[in-house]
Amino acid sequence: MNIFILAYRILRSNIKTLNHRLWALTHLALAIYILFVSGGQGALQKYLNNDLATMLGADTVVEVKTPIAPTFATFLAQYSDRQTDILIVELVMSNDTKWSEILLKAVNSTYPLNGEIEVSQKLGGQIESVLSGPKKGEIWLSERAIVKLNYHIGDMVQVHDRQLRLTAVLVNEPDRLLSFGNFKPNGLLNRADLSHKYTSESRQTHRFLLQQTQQQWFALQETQKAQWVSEAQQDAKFISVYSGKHPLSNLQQRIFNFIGLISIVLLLLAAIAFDLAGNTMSNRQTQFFTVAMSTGLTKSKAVLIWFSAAMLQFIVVIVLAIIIVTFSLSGLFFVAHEVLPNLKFSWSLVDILQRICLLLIIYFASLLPVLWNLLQLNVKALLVANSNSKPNLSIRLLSILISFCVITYTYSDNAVLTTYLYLGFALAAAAIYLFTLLTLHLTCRLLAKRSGFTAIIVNVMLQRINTKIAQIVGIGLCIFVISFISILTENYSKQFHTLSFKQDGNLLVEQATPQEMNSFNQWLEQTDSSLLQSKPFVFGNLIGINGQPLGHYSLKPNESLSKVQKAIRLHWLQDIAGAWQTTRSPNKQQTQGNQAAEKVLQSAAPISVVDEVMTDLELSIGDRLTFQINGATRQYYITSEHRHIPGKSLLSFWFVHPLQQKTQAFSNDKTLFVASTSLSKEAQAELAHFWRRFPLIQMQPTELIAEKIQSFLQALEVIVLFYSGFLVMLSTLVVWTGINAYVDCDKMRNGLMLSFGLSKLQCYKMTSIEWLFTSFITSFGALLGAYLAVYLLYIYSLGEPFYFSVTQFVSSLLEGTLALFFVAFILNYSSFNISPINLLKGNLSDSLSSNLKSAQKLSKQCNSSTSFIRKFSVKYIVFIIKNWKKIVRRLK
Amino acid sequence: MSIEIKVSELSHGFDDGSQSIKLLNNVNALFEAKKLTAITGMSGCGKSTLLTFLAGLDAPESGQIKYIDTSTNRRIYRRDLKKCMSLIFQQFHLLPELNTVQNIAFPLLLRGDKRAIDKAKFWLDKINLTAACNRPIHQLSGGEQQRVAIARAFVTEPKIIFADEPTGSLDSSTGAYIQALLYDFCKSVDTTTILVTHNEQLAKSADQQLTFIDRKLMQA
Repeated sequence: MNIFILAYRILRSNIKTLNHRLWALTHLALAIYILFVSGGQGALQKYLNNDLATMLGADTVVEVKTPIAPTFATFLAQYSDRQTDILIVELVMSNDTKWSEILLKAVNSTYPLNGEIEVSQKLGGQIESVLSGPKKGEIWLSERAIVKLNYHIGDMVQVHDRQLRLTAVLVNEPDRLLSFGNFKPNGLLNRADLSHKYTSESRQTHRFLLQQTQQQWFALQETQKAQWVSEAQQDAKFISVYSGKHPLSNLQQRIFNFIGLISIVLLLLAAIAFDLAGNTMSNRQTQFFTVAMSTGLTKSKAVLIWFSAAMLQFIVVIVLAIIIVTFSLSGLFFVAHEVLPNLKFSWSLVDILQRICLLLIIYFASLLPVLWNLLQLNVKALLVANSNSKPNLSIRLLSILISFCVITYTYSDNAVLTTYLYLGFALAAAAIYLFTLLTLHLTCRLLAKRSGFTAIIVNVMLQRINTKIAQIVGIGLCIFVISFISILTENYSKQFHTLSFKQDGNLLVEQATPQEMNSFNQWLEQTDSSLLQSKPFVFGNLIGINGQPLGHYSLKPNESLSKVQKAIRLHWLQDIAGAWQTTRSPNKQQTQGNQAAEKVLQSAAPISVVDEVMTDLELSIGDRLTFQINGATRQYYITSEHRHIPGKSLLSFWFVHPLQQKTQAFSNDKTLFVASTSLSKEAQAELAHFWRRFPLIQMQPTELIAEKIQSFLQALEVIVLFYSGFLVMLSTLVVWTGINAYVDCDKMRNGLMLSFGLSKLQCYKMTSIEWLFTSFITSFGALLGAYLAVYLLYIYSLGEPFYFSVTQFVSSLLEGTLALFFVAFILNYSSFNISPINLLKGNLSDSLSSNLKSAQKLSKQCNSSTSFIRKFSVKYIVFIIKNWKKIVRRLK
Repeated sequence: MSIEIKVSELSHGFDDGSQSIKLLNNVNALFEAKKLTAITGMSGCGKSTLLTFLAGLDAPESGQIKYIDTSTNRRIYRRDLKKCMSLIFQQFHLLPELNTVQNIAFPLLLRGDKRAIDKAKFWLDKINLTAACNRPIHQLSGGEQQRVAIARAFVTEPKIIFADEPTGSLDSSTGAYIQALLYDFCKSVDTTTILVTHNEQLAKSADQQLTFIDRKLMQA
């Protein structure tokens, strides 16, 4: 018989045992998670790449936030065959009492360069493609803008002092890629109808669409690199189909890497389940192959059969996982169709092969203890009592270590983050472990001289300490992670809501000129409203760090980097150190001995940077920052770092400099303001009218900001829920394998209790006490750890007091304890299925005898298969020798 | 209190799928109080099945089993029997998580007896295993484990003991030692004992020996 048929039969026999099924299920759960993350990432990457190729609307797009230098368009024209320039502005439009922020794109007759504009003649109407934008005097608005402002096709729309006719519903623009992630209502109008003088420069974006060859693109890049200091448009952002890099690809890769990295907790749970199930599985397989070897099977053949069976199971697991993930992701993407149109799920062969390799390594690493036992196989073991040896501890640890290393290598893109994450998990696990050990020993001491169920059960738990601790630490860690994230999410959500209303009133002025602020103040007085805070700022672009352009500065993709690449606000104070928390003193070592650098430093102004940006951009005190402010290049050196306290006030700045003579000159020029106000009810009703008078003033009700953050938190909760689902699934498997490891002992205990005249109800009571105790310790330890972690985070990282809610803690404790108890009780139910008759007959578990019988049967098949293979091999070799000339000819 | 068991017209069989097989056919017997009765017979003749009926763990198809308290001449019902009986198993069935003395004290601990450990130590002394008091069960030999199982059966001072092949897993000399111990304990505490055995020596030493012949229980 063929080895593979034998392997199949062994697998079929193995899979009938609960232990093996649990082991395979754990692998399946892990495979689903890893493939889900990989599939999602791959499909999103493909979507972004497709975007880049089809939704750029040109070969290259250049975006500039600052005013355009007159020579820049000419400079770009040298490297392109055709070009068109677009002005994009963000402004508030109103219609009667309705108002909304709108992203307006002003285009000329050369737009679009590639592709077509999609419009419809009515809301939800048939989509048609047009080759040019709106004519002079016309405007096209998106469906969301029309609905928000309550317009109808044919209505006159006021944009500043112009009255434009709404002639179509804007569906899609060919260069929509760069608006990715911007869900603001938008519109399209003729360039002649929108002058840039009507909008503030900070809300303007100049976009150049270029038609160019790859050679032109490379030449443009080289020139841009060489001239970055002298060239005026230093903040220009270049995106090209030739670069192959979507603006969001770094960010999405980072998010998915993090999701992959946190699978380490899942891996830990899986490792516990593998270890618990593996002991029994290993014994069963060792017994099987020892008996088979006693009837003539060689060790190498035994290992080969075992390997084939394991491989076969891996294939089954992977195929199942792929089917489940394909259906889940297809469904998910179908639901997400509204947000990301054209997003379709399909596998990338390279991605899937990479992940299968990763899973294969984890799979065989988890089988190392079984393989080790197989390699130690000896028929003599059958003659010696208690020959079932547990796999070597170092081998078991090695198997876990290999899996951890592979996961870390695959997903870690930031050594610091990974170290913190692992250190956090390790500390939490250690705390839960110590707490459990302490509680069990203390309870045992207290109950030492007492009788009753609790005393017995604590004693039994202490004897099963390894399994219990593994279960408690594994599940505890899972509860810890879920609790930590949910406490943080809940607190942030609550805190932000209350604080933003307290500190910032009900309307936030995001940007206003001094003239607008004057008018606004007068209007506030008239409407019985008050100004709470007002802070001046100028817009600047960070273009270099320590003499290096920002684009060349080697940094891992992060949130701060993506934000500083756009125009950011610079605020000034009389004295940085007096108003902000300075945590380090300036260090000028960096420029010592370098005269040119010292000269630059002398002309530079001091600046304070928020700690989060310092970390993300890997900055330190003494570093030089080059800003472009109002068309002029300014040098700063970092003298201090300050801390932003989340939820305290919305009026905060990443970069703050002291008001000195050298900065005053540009600070006063084009100063803008942010402010927080408390509007009366009368003012709220009048707001749309005021906005119509001053359409350029940018304002946001704080309620709207809170809503945005709430929706972000909701999205975060969905991710947490998805992750928690896997954690719960694997925790259940850990509980199950732990219970299954002792099911015979529990059955015997229950059988004995019945034989001593106790009722089944008392057996239930005994098991209930065991699991209530376990669930309580697990939940209590994990929750305590989670609250402690959140407390430390608040105190040391956020500088905020953390308000501990006893009610919330107790309710979470009850929820955790009861949920875990019920799951464990249900999984333990098979141990109640016993009678003293089973003890008399000695048939607690008949797996051993059946195992021995099947081993003998299979060993006979092995012998026949060995002879078959031998005969087949000889025949094949003879055939090759006889026909080698023909074979070579065919191969040629 | 001392218990006597009267079995009358007890019959039982089972269906193996193709035909029904009669295992016990009109069995009649009297198991006298405070006496040790041994049941012998060939493998598969129904000895252990009869023991499960006698211990009230299962019900036969037909026939009657009466438990009588000879001191008051009153009938004892099955539910009350469980409170005053003990079982000894061929495979010992000791709990691996408990040590030697805890295993003996286990039934008393379950009942909340505050002197459970002291009583267990008394029986530990009687089976000559005082030195193994706190030893884990897996460190004991087969004979020692069966002695612990016997002590566990006697620690509750049962009025009736059912033993299924108590020496079945032991060598002959250990078996003989266990047999002597069991008999000695039965006599010393005046317990009615019914044991199922293949061991002729063990059976012959009993007060009464019953054997299965042609699905009926006869005096040997």
